Amino acid sequence: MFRFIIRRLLMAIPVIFLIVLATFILVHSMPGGPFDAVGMRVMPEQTKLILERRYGLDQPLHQQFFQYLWNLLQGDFGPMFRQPSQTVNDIIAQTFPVSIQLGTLSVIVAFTMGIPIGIIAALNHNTPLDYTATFVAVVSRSIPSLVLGPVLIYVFAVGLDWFPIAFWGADPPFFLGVFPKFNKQFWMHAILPVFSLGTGMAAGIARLTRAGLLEVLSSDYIRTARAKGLRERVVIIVHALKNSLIPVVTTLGPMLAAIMTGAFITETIFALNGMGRRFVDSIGQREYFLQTSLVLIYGILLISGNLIVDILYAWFDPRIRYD
Amino acid sequence: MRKKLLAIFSTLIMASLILSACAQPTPEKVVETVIVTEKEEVEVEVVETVEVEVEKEVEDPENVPQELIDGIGVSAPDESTLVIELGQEASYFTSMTPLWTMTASPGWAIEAHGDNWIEAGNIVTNGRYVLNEWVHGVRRTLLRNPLMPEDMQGDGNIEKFVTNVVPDTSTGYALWLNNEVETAGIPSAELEAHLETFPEETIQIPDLAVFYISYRMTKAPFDDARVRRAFSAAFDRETFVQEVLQGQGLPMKHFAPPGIFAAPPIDEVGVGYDVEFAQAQLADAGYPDCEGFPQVTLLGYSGQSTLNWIEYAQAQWEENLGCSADLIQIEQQSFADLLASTKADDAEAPHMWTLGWGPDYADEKNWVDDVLYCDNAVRQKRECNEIDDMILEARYETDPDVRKELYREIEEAFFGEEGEYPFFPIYLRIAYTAEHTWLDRVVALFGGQQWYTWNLDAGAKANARGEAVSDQVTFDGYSTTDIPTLDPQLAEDVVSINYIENLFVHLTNYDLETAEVVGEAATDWTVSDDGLTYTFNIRTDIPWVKHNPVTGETIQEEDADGNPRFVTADDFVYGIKRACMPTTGSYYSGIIAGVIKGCDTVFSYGQ
Repeated sequence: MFRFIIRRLLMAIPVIFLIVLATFILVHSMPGGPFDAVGMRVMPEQTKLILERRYGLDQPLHQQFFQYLWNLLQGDFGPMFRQPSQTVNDIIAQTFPVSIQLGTLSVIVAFTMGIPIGIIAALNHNTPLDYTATFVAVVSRSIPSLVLGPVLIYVFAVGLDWFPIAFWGADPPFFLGVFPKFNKQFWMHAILPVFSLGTGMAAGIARLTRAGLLEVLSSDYIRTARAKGLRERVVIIVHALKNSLIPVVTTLGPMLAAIMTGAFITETIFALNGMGRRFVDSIGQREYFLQTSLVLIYGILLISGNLIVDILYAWFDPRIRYD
Repeated sequence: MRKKLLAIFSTLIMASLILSACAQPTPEKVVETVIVTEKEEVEVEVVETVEVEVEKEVEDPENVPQELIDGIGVSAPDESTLVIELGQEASYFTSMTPLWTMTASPGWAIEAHGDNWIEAGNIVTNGRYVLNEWVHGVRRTLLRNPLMPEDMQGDGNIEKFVTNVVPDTSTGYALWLNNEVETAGIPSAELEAHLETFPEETIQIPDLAVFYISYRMTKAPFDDARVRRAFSAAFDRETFVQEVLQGQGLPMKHFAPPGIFAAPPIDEVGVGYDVEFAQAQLADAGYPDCEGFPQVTLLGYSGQSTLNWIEYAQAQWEENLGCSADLIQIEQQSFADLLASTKADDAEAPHMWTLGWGPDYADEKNWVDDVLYCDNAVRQKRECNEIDDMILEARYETDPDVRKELYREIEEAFFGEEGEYPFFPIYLRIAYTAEHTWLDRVVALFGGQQWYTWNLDAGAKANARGEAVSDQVTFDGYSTTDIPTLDPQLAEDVVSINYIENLFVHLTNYDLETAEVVGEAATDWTVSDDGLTYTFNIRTDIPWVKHNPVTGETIQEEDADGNPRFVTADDFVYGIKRACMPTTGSYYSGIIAGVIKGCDTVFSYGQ
């Protein structure tokens, strides 16, 4: 397993390099630049040239790329064009923890809700309980967070005044750069956005769990376990569940990467200072360094997430060996 | 195979790393003059062409020669006198003096902290408020400056100004409904319901941006002024404002809106909507009832509201001119792409496109001159003619009454019955805003919002929220974006400008009621007879202050000898010269560079 992990990490290096290269080329291929306009006004050519020169955008593209790569190796993600007092490192330090907090809580909610619902549905296959669970899962999956978020706000925040309408309940600096103060204010602010983001994922997990468990429950070894006289709870939890969660675990890697690099819509609706919102804003603003750096972070998280999934495979299914 | 791929990748990465290392600048920046040869072809009278090598010195904008900087026409003969010399007559310069770009800047703080001088705890200010908190992307808080001279404090009673970043208008409106913010934009879907439910808590705010449809004047059929007039006169602006914009606008027949110096009264110049006139013009141009009219393109920037606009235009031309919808091909592009497309050659450029203009300062020069003068109207590709002679005349005229008359004639020449119509103005943008009744304010049309003049009934607010009255009168608001910068010489956007208005005192300002230019740091000023020299008397009792966000204390800055620092004319000299430097580079520094003597020479150094 150790050799497998090392091998995967080494193979990740050229992949990350290609991600950076491809993103760099793509962002610079977009028409227009960061200094073309000021609101609705066209930036005078002279001023535009001054600003492009300041940030090295007048250099040949390959030179810009190597300069960026070199800075990246030194931990410098680059400047922000329209916020001179901030760097990309500052933006990441401010927004990444919020996205991690939101993402982690949402994934926990998704698994906490999704797996039990899936189990209940599978164990009560073709009963009203199964149909209800399936219906709820489909509806939850179908409602986009663009709709769910405002509905939650108007019902629970404006109408019932149970929760705050917007904002995150913790400001930087965070403990160890990531952890907020887990106080009442934090949880009250977190509930609506986490629920908005987590329910869609929970629905997908519930469906996968149900399908996986149903397949496993019809296996020979489960019949054998039952024939041996084991209690049903032991059969499900000890023998069936682990194998049925392999498809669920497969989604964990990409899900973690996507969620932790920001959920644009949720962050916009609930006014959260996360990476997703900044990433989408950076496209329109042509903040090249921010765009490339955030894609890089997403790539690293995706690679890491997939590696974690592969390791979890080996734990779930002892037959799987990588060495 | 896998090993080969790994080997290739590893080689590629190593090569990149080596090239990256080689691409690095030397650690120590050595400034030297580099001689570059250029080849130039020179025609001689006889027959042959001779190649001549020309040596040209490359200018480094990071190292502008001191003599050029000293040549900028701004000086301080003493602490309380600021002299600004113009490169040529510009009677509109008074309208430019409230610009934040020309405000005094604390040079010692900028040199100490670099780009971070604007962060809370570093920033040194001199305005009615101080920066207490700036959590980037989340929130900022201002507190009253206790050291401000009393006569400058302003009539308002707001002691604390809290603004959160809320990107979504619906969420902002929800905050307003819940009494968590004093004002909010109204989402389109909620507008009708809001106007019915909260008529007393709705105000209309114009932002003086005028939107228009522009023509490529060199591209048939719009190379004929009659066709341009026809399309303009066939557009019902009133109905457009009422039905498409839901009343959030004012129809415009000419360019500069009310409130701009020398703008004609709104209903006096311009043809506007006149179907008979439109049909006659089109027939006269050879397209009666649009027969034989070629297919043309109308390009709008992306977004549903623009789509509504261009579809309305398409429908109007079909109804009023007989030009069927398939003759008017509508397209949408991102704003950046639209700007690029409209500068392309005739073959690539659209025939018509949507655009808008908002003022930089309150003078007609900033409208018909900065937008439509032939050298500036590069998208329309206007050719210079007698209208441009009038524009130049108005630019340098010093008599305000003569200027008003000239600009009226210019507007008529563009948008009258025989107007040139490089574009046709459609509406002045006005936005409905939800505002609670406990807020009493006058919204500034120019410059930033003067929060120090706003009043808030804290009791009524607490009552609505079901809370105890706060011991500090606090305004709670939101903006859809964070502040890009608090640096006066760099500020280009509305959010930054609003904060700078309240953190810094400007040279002059706009009167809230009359929009006239009045003194602020400058108590009064005189203009030389030739119109080239402006002399400002600066009050010297405005302290530079620094606020400590941790202790909450605001103290006056001191110089190296322990003397308290007050705003002086030298600070304005520093700010204006800084704006002229090529390394500063902002939209508004480009504007003043064209006016102040020597500023443009420095601004363009190295280009």
